[in-house]
Amino acid sequence: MSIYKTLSKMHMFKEVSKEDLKDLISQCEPSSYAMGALVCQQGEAATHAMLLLDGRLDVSVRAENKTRSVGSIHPGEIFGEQGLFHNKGVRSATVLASKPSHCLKLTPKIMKTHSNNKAMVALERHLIATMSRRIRSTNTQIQKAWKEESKPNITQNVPEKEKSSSLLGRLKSLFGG
Amino acid sequence: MNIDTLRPVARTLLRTYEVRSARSNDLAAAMVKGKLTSWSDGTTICTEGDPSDDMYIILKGNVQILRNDATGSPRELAVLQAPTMIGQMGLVDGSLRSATCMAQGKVGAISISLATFQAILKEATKAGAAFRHLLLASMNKQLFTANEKIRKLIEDIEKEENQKNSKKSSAKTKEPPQSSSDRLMEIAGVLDGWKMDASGVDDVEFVEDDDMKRTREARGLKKRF
Repeated sequence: MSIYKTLSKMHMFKEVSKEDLKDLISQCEPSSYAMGALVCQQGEAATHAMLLLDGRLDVSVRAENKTRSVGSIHPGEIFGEQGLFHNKGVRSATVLASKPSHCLKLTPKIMKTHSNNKAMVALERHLIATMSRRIRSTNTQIQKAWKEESKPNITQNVPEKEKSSSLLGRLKSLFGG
Repeated sequence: MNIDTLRPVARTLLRTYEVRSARSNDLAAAMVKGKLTSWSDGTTICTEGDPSDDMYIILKGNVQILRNDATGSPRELAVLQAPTMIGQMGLVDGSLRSATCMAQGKVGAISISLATFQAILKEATKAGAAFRHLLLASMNKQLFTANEKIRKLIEDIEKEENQKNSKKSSAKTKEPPQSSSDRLMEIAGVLDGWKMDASGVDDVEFVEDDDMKRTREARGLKKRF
């Protein structure tokens, strides 16, 4: 299926004209990954974000000599946005293709030069919604941990070691631990 | 209020939030769509738990951020200095105000209503893009800063546990360490956009398009950032 057909079926682009969508596609570099191929490596320089067109990607984080799976990326999702905003930023996770996959590369320069393109507006609004969900999800878990940690009447009889281990477990779960 | 008077504020905001892909003139053109408003010292700007109807770009003065702790007592989370923005997260996701904001001294701001906010987000203009990029960069900074703080907290808890296991006395510090509970409250504040590290402000690489490069070179100027 062509990139245009794939994108035109995505909900975020439903009100975008064919011309704007084709213009955006013409500026974004496409990339293909075979099953098991490396999309990006934790620790390498982050210079761009990616939109997954089709396939599926697995995300993992390596810490303390252990690799932990932290989730999957599905078609229509944007990832690696740190590369759009953080100067000299590095990838915080490794992404591997768990199915044959196709992506489009999004760079800060394309964001800047396509401010009049409605496909870019749709993409940016989609990214705002995605990041907002990520912030809320992390915040919900942090607030839960904070409330548990602040309950003196419940936790006063819990040994200090057990208390900190349970908080540690909750915090590590944010990074797939 | 016009674009020229707002441009210095816009420039500072773009540098503070490390926005590489927008010009101050364009952000000022988006900001001018809001309304000027002000509060006297000690006045409440917004209250924790209330619906989010507006966001504010603080032009002048300081804003004290308070959040109720687990016992319901208000605790100071931060004091933000102008120029900064507050209340934007509630407009993005429809959530209630996550903290109370009080004016410290006279505070001047641009108030952007929900309807104006949504209209700017849909704009296919340089002003719309500058505003979206500011929002995206601030959210990216919130997530990045919070993740760094969570990682540090994990490290400290592990270090403390290892010290207890090896029966070594804990490292002597001049001040008592901040409790895990306080640090979690601080991280929640970061995620809500109330607290932000200013690190990296001088490290912003500006993305210059061909048009800007020609103008700069014609004026014989060096690249700004």
